[in-house]
Amino acid sequence: MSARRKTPAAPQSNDHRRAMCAWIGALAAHRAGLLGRLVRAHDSVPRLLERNPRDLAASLARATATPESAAADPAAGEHTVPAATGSAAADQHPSRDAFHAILHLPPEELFAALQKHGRGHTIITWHDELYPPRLRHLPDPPLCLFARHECDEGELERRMRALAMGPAVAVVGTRSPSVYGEEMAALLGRDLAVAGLAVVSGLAMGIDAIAQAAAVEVGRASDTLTTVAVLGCGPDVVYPRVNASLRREISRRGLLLSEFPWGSPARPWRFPARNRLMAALSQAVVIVEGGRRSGTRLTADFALDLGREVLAVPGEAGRRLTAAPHALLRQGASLCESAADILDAIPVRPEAPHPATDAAHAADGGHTLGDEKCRLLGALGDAPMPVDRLAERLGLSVSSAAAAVSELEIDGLVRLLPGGTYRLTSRD
Amino acid sequence: MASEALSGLHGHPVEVEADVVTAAPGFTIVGLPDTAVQESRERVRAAIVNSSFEFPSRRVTVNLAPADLRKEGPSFDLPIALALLMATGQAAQSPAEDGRLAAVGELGLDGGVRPVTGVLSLAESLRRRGVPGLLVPAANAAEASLVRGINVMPVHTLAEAAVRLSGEGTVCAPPADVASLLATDPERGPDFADVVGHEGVKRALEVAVAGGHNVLMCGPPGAGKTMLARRLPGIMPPLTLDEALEITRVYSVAGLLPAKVPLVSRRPLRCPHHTISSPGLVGGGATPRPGEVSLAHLGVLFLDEFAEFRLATLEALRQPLEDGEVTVSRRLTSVTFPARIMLVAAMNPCPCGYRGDRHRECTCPAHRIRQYAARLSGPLLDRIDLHLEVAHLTPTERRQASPADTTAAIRRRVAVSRERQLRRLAGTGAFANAHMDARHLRRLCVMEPTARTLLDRAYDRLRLSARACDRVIKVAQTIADLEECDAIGPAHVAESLSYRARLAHRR
Repeated sequence: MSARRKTPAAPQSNDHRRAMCAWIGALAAHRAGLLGRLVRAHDSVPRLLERNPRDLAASLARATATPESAAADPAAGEHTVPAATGSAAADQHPSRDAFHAILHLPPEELFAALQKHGRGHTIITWHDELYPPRLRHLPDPPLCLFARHECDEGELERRMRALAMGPAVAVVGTRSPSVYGEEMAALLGRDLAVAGLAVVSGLAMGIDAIAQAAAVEVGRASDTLTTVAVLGCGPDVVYPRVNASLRREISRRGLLLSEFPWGSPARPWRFPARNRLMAALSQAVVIVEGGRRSGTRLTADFALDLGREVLAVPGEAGRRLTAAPHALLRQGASLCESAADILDAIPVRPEAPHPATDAAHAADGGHTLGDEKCRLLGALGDAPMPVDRLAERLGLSVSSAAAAVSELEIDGLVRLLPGGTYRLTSRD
Repeated sequence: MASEALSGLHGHPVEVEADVVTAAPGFTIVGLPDTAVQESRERVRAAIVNSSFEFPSRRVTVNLAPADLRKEGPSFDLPIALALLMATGQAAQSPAEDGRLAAVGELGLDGGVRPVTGVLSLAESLRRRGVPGLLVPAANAAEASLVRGINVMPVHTLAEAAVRLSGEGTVCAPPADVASLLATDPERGPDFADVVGHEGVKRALEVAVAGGHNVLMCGPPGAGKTMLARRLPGIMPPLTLDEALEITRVYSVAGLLPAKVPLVSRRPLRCPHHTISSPGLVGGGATPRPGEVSLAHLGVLFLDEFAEFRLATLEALRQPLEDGEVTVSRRLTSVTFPARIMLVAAMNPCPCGYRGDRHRECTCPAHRIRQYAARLSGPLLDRIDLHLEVAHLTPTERRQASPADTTAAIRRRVAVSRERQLRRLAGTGAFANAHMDARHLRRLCVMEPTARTLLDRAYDRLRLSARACDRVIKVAQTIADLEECDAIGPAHVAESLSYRARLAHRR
């Protein structure tokens, strides 16, 4: 955890700093309920901070000190603020112990002390120049963001700037997608990343993880920021466990952000909060698949409130997982069949596709396709189909058809889906 | 009295001696007899008495030599009884020219001789020893007469056996007409032509059988996986005599030879239920008995609902798949059963079975799909060369399907391909492409340069492992053999690649 080394653009008086530190301290003590009440009392966060920082700092310090008010807070039950000696339960994260110990320091020394502890964790506060400007559109923006990164400070800065200035799109959907949903999420994630956009998502199982994995894959070869994960838990908490390696990749190559402090476990009430951040950070939100009561509807609502574009990927009529996208389409969301539709919807012109990633999945240069393969691609262009039908339609033997479609697979032009059907990888 | 003990599939010589002394009446059997052999005493006593012979009221001791070999099963009843009769002078062996007769058989209380298991192995072992003749229960006579070079004398009762011993009644069972036994009507059994559609899968199965490759079929319930698996033994090449004898030996020991048919003439198809135990699958038990793997020797072992099998049970399959045999060790001995099988596994893609289906929705939550995929045995999947998706046919597809090849036609192609393989693999110990190891691959598989380039490109783009690459070459070789090409061409490699494992199942 380290403080910003550069002086922030907005003037930051000592009072502001004290208030910010008290705020972080309260967050770390998991007094989110208290903070929420304060925000509501003052109608908006910036006004809360600007109006009277000294009072704010004082009231926060009072509130966190008293155990009774702590007991009344829904979030406080998660971790008790340890005694001044810093004794802690055995299962607390070691850096959290140190962190809690720091909180008992006077606010002026807080930031300085934070610098000494742990690399790879950063706090980005409201006054910081790297605070994503799009987040300021929210009526209740987070006062600070916690970031987890496995790169150096300079790189983190560069990525935050890229997020601030560059185009970003959120790809969200169900945790249990169908095969079609998985394909579309991977396709969109990859194509958006290739076009130079950042894919924002929540690292949840299913659509989120698939889209982000595809984007990270593209980002491997290039330097651009391709993926941003907004967490519904603390930046050091690994949730869900199955996505641990993806999370690590993103902390290496992308941005891993959270508005919740270290040690916050994933709780149901944190996810809607995270969804609003995803909507705010992006210029458009794409719903890939979702059931009738899916949480993605919420994200779409946030997006609409913020004036962001909402797109939905259609599916087969009557299926359970097309309920959410189709409902949105009925309400006026734009249809998304490919990344091109998304690029048309957002105002910013994306950068030219990165040459390295482009070559990686184009057909081999100069490799002219035989007549048979062209016919195969044509047939698959009409609809995905299994080998038998391909053979029949083109009048080939099954073995020849299997051989030809296999070569197309090597070229990256078709994929075999579970269920035995082949489909084209892109619509060019 | 000479006899033979069965240990696994082999016989061990056993000498049955009887000694009668004037002392307090008693009847003891020594020589490590098991419970069934101990119970022989009652059966022998009753049989002798009921056959109008006299049971001595003196001290009788029977020794089953050698004394350190465990004797199991009721097949020593007859030789013990005959030895006793000889010792009391009620029967005598005629001095034959070339040696003594042997006997095996269980006795009923009425003196009748009952069949025993493993007669084929016993007869072969006796023949190797040079014993000229064997007294067998009449029900086992057909089986025993499969062995050339030994006189088989069927007996129905103890009395008849005593008569035969003394050389009278020279009716021997004729040697079996093996050729006619083998040439069963090949049109019996389900035919591939009955299966409508699934041309891609049928082609893949043809390739699998031709090269002896293991197969995994994945698809929704009712798509036709079991239906196709049942037709596989029909397209496998016909059995040679040695192969038929190998299978018959195992079935004889297991006690599963059908009554009227002494020789197994069709390749077996075994379909164990997924709740089977490890010993049931690979063999074992207190007295080692062959498991399903051995009962499927030279045939097909079909594991339906592959994902429901317990991991530990599947792990037990690794030795047989690797070595082609199963060794069961006990305290005193170890027994080896043959187990060269073609493994065919079938499974659903997810717990509800409909993931990826074009018409029905999958209702499984993501974590259950993951759990289901994690249940599969990685090392076992590694030994499966072809991974096939079997999907439901749409009604249009069913209507439009063109006439299919018959089992006979496919079998002919497979047989031709096997010929080529045998010629190429002569001297290596492998008898089909699937059993080639890395050395054989390098030495014997000839690839055209374009095929080699294609494979290299696939290795790169599709991120194949080295093992996967070897599997692709083996299958490509089989495809080349089916097309009667001398070298592996790019089309063969490409087709082989379409049968490789995809990671999508393990997402």
